[in-house]
Amino acid sequence: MSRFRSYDGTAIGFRRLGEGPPLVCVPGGPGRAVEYLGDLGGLGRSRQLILLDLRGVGLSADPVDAATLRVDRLVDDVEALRVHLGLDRMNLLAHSAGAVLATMYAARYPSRLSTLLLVTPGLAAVGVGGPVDSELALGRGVDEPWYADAVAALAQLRRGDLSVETFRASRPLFYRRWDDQAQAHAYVGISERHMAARVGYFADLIVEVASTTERLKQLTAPVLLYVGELDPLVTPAMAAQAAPIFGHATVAVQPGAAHFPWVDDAALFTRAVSAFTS
Amino acid sequence: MTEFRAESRAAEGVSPNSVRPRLDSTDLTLLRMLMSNARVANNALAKAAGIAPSTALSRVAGLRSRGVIRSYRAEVDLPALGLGLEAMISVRLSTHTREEMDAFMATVSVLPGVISLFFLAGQNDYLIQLAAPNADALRDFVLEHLSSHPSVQHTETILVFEHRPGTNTLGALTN
Repeated sequence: MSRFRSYDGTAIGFRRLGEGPPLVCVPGGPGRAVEYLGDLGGLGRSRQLILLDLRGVGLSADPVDAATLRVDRLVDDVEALRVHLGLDRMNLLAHSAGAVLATMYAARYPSRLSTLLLVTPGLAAVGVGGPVDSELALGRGVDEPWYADAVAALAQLRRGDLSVETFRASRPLFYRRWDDQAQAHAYVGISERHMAARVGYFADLIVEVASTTERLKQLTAPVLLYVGELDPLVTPAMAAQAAPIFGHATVAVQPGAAHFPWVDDAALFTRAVSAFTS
Repeated sequence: MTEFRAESRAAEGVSPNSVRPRLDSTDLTLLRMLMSNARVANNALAKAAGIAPSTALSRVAGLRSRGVIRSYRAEVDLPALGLGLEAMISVRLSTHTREEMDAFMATVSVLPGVISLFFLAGQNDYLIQLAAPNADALRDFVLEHLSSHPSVQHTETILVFEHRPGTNTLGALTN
C-alpha cells in the first residue's frame, strides 16, 4: 500500500495490484473500502490496478473537515492522486456511487483522462435518476427466505437509508445468485468507521446537472457505460439515456449480471474492459 | 446505388435476376463444405458428395458462374491484427429520402473498420458492425463519420462481447 498527502494534508491511501498499464479505480458504497473491488475479476492480470481508498475510508485517514467527504470535494483527492502518480492522463474506472465522483472529475478535468469506465454507475451527476419501481427486475429469489426482507431493504435504500443494516439486508438482490461467492463478497469493505464518509458523500450536495453536462462536452476520452441486466440500481435503459451526454459513450450490458458484474461473470467483464482499455 | 442493390440481394437470398437457381442435394453438400472451408480439396468434396472429382470440379465452377458462390474470402482474426475492439452502432437518420439513404450506405460501407452494414426495418435504420484498434478509434469513428453527418439523428454504440459466425446457415433449407 502507499499513502500520500492530499491538498489539505489528509493522508490518502491506495494499493497497486497487478501488472500492466495503470488503471485508477474509484470505489462506490458510498463509504466502502476499495478492497471490495478485489482485482476486478482478474483484470489485474493485464492491468496495474491503482485501487484508491477515499478519505475517511479504508487505508485513508479521516479528514479534519467533514465537509470534504462530499463527492464534489473528493474530486480534488482524485486529482491529487493523478499528480502523485505522475500520470499526464489516466485510465479511470469507477463503480456505482464512485461513478458520480468520476463523472464530476471528468467534468472538471476532461483533459486528464485517456479512458473513462463507469461500471454500474450512479448517474445523478448527469441528471439520470434511478429506475422507477416497475422497471426493477426483482424476479430472482422470489421463493428464498431472504426475499421479502431484501425487497423491503432495497426500497429503504432507494429512499436514501444509509444504515449498514439496510445495506446488509438488501444484498441478495445485488448479485446474479446469492451463493457462497456472493455472500463472501457482499460485506467486504463495510465498516462502522466509514459511516461519516458514507453519510457525507451526498449530504447537502447540490447537483449541477446543466453545467456538468456542458463541461462533459470537453471530454475527448472514450467512455464505457457498463451495466448489469438485472441491477436493481442502474438499468440498461439508464445507460442508454446517459450515453449521449458522455460524448457518444459505448454501452455494454452484461447479461445475467446485477450490481457487481465482475463477481457475477469475471471472464465476460475482464474481456470487455480489457478490449476497451487496450 | 450499386452498393445498396448488392446488399439488398444478399438480404433476400436471391440471384441477381431474381430467379432462384435450381440446386440439388449434391450442390448443397458441396456448398456446405465450401462454406465451412473454401480451400477444401476437390477430392474431399467429391467423396463427400459421392461424385467423381471431375464432376465436383464442374459443379463448383457452375455454382461460381451462376453467382451462387459469390466469392471466396479469407476470414481473419481481427484481434490478432490489432483490431481488438468490436462494436455495433445503431444509427437513425433524420430524413429518409431514397437518395440520402443510398448515399449513406455507399459512404459507410467503405469506411475503415466496417465489417458489415445492415439496413434495418426497425426503429433504427442501420446497424454498423465495426472493428476498431481501441476505444479512441471507436469514438472517433462515431464522431467523425456519424454524429457530424447531416442526415444522422441518433447513434447508439454497443460493445460486442463475442462474435461467432454460424456454422449451419444452410440448415434453414428444407429441401
